[in-house]
Formats: sequence, C-alpha cells, structure tokens
Amino acid sequence: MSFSDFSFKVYHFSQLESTNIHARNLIHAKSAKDGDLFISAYQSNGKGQIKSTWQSEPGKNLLFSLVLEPNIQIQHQFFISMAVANSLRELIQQLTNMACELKWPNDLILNGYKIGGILIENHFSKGLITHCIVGVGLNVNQVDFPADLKLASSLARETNKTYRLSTVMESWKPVFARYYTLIKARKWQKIKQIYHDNLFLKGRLARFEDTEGEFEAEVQGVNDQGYLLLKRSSGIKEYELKQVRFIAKA
Amino acid sequence: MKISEIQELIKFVSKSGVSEVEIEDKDFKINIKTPPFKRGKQSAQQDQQQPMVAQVIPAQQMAAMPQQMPATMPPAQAAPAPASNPAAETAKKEESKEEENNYIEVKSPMIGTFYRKPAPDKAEFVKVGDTISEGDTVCVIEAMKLFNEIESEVSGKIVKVLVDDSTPVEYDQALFLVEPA
Repeated sequence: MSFSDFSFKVYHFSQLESTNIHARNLIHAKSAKDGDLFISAYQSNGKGQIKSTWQSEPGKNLLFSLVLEPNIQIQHQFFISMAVANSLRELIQQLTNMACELKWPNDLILNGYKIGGILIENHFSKGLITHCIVGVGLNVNQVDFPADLKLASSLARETNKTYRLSTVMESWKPVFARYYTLIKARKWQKIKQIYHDNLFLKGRLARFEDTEGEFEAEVQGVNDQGYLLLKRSSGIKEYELKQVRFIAKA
Repeated sequence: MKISEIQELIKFVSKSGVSEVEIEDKDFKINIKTPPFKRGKQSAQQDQQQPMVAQVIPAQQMAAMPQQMPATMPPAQAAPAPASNPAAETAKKEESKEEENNYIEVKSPMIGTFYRKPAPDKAEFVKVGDTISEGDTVCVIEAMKLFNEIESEVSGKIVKVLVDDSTPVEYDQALFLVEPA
C-alpha cells in the first residue's frame, strides 16, 4: 500500500454516544472500511480507559474514531499506538509552534498539561489485527475544565488562540497518512525512534511507584510491546501501564 | 449409473451393515456412508437424525479433490470411514481427542487485563450457559490502553469462565471453557 492508496472517508454526527462504539458496531456489521472516520461534535458517553470517560464541552474539541485495517500481527499492536501519537504530536507542534511531548503510553502533553488522549480497540482474527478503531480526543477550544481535572488543558488555553476544528482535522490527515504508510511498510523501528525522540522525560530521572513502593529511575524508553523501560539501581525493568505510576520529575 | 440403480445401491448398503462403500468407474465415483448408530455403535456425540450420506462425484471434479474428501461433505459426517482413507484417519483422531477432553479452551493471545464487559455499565459479553458462534466477542484484553476484542474460534456453549473480571492474564492463559457445538 502506498501513501496515495489510503483515503479518509469522513462521517459527521452532531451527537453520538461514542464514536468508538459507533465504529465498533459497524465493524461487527462488516460495514466499516479502512479510512472510515466518524466525527462527532459531542459524545454523551465518550470512552476513556474502561473506568473513565472523556469530559468534553459540545463543539469545542476534536473527537473522532478512525477505522483501520492494518492486518498486522498482534505483537505489533503498540506500533499503531505510537504512530497515532506521533502524528498528533506533530500536528500540535505544527499548529502551535510549541514543543509537544508524548507521555507514556500515549498522552499528548503541552506545557506540562494533557491536551489529548488516544484509545485504540483492536479486532483480530487468528493472530492478525484485522480492524483497529483509533479513538482520538483532542482538546482544542475548551477553556474551562472540571476542577478534578487539574492536569487537563487545550490548544486554546495554552496558546490563547482559537482553532477551526475542520482545519485541525484537515491538517492531521496527511500527517497520519504518512505514519500509516510506515505501519503498512512495517517500519517499526522508525516509528519507535520518532516516538522516543519526543517521549516525555526520556533519558531523565523521575520518581515512580510500583507495588513495592516509591523509587527513582531513568526513563529509557519503551520496548516493542510498549512496556516502559526504567533504569533502576538494580538494572533495567519493564513495566506495564498498571504496574507503575509516575509521581514527579526528580 | 441411473438414479434407480443408485437408490438400489443405497438400500443395499443400509441393510448390509457395511459402514462405507465406494465404487469408482470411468466417469463417476460414488461413496455411500452409513451413520454409526446404524451399525450398532451408538455414540452420544452423533446426531441420531443424521441421514445416510451418498456422494456422487463426477470424474472431472475428482482430480481437483485431494485425498478423496468430497468438498461438499459437512465435517460432522467425515468421521466414520475405513482406515484406508488418510483424511478420515485424521478426522477420527481429532474426534477421539475431543472425546478425551470434551471442552475447548479459549486462550488469551496476549498479556494484559481481562474484561468481561465492553464498559462498566454494560452487560457481560458472555456468561456461563450462553451459546456462542465462531467470531463472537467473548471478552476484552487491555494492555497499554490498547483494547483487544477477543473472538471465539469455536462455536459452542460457555461451560466455565476461568478468570475474574478486571484481573491480569498471561499469554496463552485459558479464559473460558467451551463445550463445542
């Protein structure tokens, strides 16, 4: 598949329960294709991680789900996550002229605040990822956030500018298409290299917590499965998302 | 061979107690099988309503069929066959293996967290006693914010759920026991 073969087909909705759920239903009905993109001005039940939902004011943010048919092996699933994160990071940098970083595994960080998240659902058959739903929530023009979301912000709040959502969307498409080409061409290490180049705290010391307590470690990067590699006094250790908690920069 | 002759042949085979007859001529091949219960070997796994099977294969199609396995034959009818048929041999072996271990395990293809529901406020994908088809989603396994819908590779009935909701699972860990349909 070459760069020009991939095309987006965009479907707009004023309100959906969740664009990811909509995409999932269409995949189950076998009527979703590579490049189908569902965008909603508002999600009544936007998905975060399984226990969290995404807080968003209607019409202010970019909320969409993209269907992909990557046909890659399950052990390469984290490369999709990294490719999407890379593309959004590049987009934000392009729009704001500010450095945007990726906080493991795939949070978008601008000025130390989280301005977007990615949630990916894979459907696979016999070890191959046949369909992938890439759910993206990017805070664009929302300025007020609930008090309990201290670390949440938006492009507008960090730059004192407002953005046309359609422009943000259109700017993202060619950037993502370029990363999708890397996935299709199995350029795994290239994707990981770009991810590492922009990984929050990479090569630096930070405080973390695991089941045995707090510790200080240097962020080494991720392995191919997406585990965080932390260099501790005892050696390099791999962590799954639920096995470790970031506390603060050292 | 005329239809009436084939009918005669089927009648003859069914009365004879022979399990399978195969006749091959210049331009046709006929394969007649009797279900096991007709031969007094009653098996609980076999459908009692299973009809006697006759397969007539035109000669020109035969070349395309490896191991004399008629392509139109449903798998459930493939088991009883003479030992000289290598394909049926394999089927027989698989069947006896299934009898030893009646249940099939649905295993985790990855390390992650096992979820029985698509969302906390939604119903479970499957419960004990549910009938599932191949391709049905049975659970979600999440790792690093990647949610993987796990599909069953077998059809059957859920006999047991082996892992608690929202708990970690290892690669290849058994998640469900399924009684195959």
